[in-house]
Amino acid sequence: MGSAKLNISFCTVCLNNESQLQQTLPANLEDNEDYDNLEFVLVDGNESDQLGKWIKNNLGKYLESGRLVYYRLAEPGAFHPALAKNTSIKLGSGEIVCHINASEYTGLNMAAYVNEVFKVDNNITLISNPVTFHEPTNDHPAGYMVGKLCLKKNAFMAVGGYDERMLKPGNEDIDLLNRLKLHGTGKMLITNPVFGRSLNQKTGKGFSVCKSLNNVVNIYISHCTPAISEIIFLYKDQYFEKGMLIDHSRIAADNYCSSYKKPDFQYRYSLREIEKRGKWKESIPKNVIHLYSEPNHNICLKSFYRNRYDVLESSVQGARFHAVTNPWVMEKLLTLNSIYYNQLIMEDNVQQKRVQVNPSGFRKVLLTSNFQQHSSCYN
Amino acid sequence: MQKNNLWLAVSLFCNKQYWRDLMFKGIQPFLKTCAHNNLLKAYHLQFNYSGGENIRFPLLIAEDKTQETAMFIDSYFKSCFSQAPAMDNLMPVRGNRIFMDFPVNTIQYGLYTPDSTINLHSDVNFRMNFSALLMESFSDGGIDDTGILTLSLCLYLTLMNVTVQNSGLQFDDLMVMPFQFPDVNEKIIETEAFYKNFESNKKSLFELTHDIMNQSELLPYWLRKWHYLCELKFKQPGDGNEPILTGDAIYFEISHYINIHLGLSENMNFLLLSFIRKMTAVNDHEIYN
Repeated sequence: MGSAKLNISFCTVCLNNESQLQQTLPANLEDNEDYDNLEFVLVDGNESDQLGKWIKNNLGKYLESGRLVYYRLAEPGAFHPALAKNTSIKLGSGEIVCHINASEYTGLNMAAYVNEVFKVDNNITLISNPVTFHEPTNDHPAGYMVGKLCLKKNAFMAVGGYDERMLKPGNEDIDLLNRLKLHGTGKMLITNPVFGRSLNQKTGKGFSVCKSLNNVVNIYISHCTPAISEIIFLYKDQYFEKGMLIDHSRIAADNYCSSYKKPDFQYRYSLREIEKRGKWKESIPKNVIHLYSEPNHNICLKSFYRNRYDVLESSVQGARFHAVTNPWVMEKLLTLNSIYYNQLIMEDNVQQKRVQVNPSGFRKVLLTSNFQQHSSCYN
Repeated sequence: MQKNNLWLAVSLFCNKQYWRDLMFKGIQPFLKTCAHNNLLKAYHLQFNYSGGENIRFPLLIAEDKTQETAMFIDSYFKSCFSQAPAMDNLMPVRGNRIFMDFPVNTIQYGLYTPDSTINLHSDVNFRMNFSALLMESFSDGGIDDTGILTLSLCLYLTLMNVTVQNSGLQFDDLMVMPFQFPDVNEKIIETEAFYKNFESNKKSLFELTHDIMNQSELLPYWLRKWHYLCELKFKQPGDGNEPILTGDAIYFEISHYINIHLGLSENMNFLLLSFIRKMTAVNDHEIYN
């Protein structure tokens, strides 16, 4: 090991959490001024115009010195957490890349600390303690996130980065750690409280559900049995999701053994087959909704006639889907969707012992760099 | 009490209009059979609406007879429901329900965990006596929302009366406690039906309140029994192994049981306590002789 300092990139994405970033980023830049071989990569999800203006007005000197590199997504709404994190880390030029959540303070001289740790052992992932993004309840498992995650860029690329099938927030960091472990990369926890400060991260839950609520056109339910319902989520971006919601406490309710046997499930609810995702389209004025499969959206999976009571009637199987209008029920369904969507992919990766994901590489997105309107770059 | 005993979580699904039939033609004969065969250690009855209208019927049995007792219960109530009047057992489908209801006239299991507080001997007995009293109170009439609300009113008023008589608490203390929710005034304004109901039933409600507060001889036997049960709870606070509760804790515990056993929703509970507050605020000086 040489004595030269390692090149490090602190990579952060901003997806509707500007106010947090405006508190943490200036502090993080100042706290790591003494470490030369460091860059801050900031990827702005273009959720609003405010962040760019604020960066220009408040952090101009860091942009000029190259300490801070600011990228902005050309089209808003194209990011999801896994893709955004992959983009920012891929743009980092350091041999050590750190994902720093917008809510995280690095603490004084964290870059120097990272350098010391990786000088001793560079085959590790250095992480802060995972926090619960969705609190676990008896109904559903927790969704976790890791606020700070540092590793060799080579290792990150070897496992294909974050799994871009994970379209929702929560557990994408844990999935990455699982696969890094299979790859042979160890894990080390940041225990020094100096590097452990963060803002309240649980705001993420509200954000994810609120964002989904804003994006949802309709949610429909078909009651299959007292324990199983089929749910369709139709979103404004013309995507749909479909899944089976199961209440495990009801599955064997007709068996008298259930009156005394201890429940054999850990969580009351599970959402299965939620990966059935594609595009939806409504024929007007026929009131027929078509669901098309991914990836090319050219195979019509199902068609429904929407009657005047907002009930979807399937011509094939006779299934009827009723519109959900109660905000509490909508929120509950979106929360479960958010939790189980990534959870199922993570479980699948574990079962398949999958090390590498995103076999075709990261999804390409159009970005502008440091406010240069005409010099866009593809990630 | 819990040693070598085990609770069975049983739910009996049928329309509320048939709950009375279920109690007197199904549950009561069942309890007699069980008493004869010494099958049950305890039971409770709770009105419930989760998964459709149902009566929760947790049963405490000897652990070494678990399977045979569970099988007996299953066949007994299946036979009982087979004699129930034929009806459309498909519940209307509603989009705002995440799951469909259970079919009516069916027995289901394991849908709840019997309350942990019922580990205590005195609580088990109190709630069993309360359950028996519940059946008795409906011996003369059918069960509907108004009937449940009226019964709850009688139970609450009696409980409050007993609490005042047996603790240092005043009637006002008990009225203040449930009304500490920040949105309570908004709820009152929004509940237009509450005012209408109150005004149209003011006279009879006031008479009822007056009778209960003065322990009138005209009160039905079951209500006098309820008075006695509540009083016992204040005077004999459990066996030596149980914690001694303060007056307000006993009041809250029993009011919790009323809510659980009568399946009072937050709205119904609110309506009920609003009635009581209204009556006592308007006629405070007249309630007691």
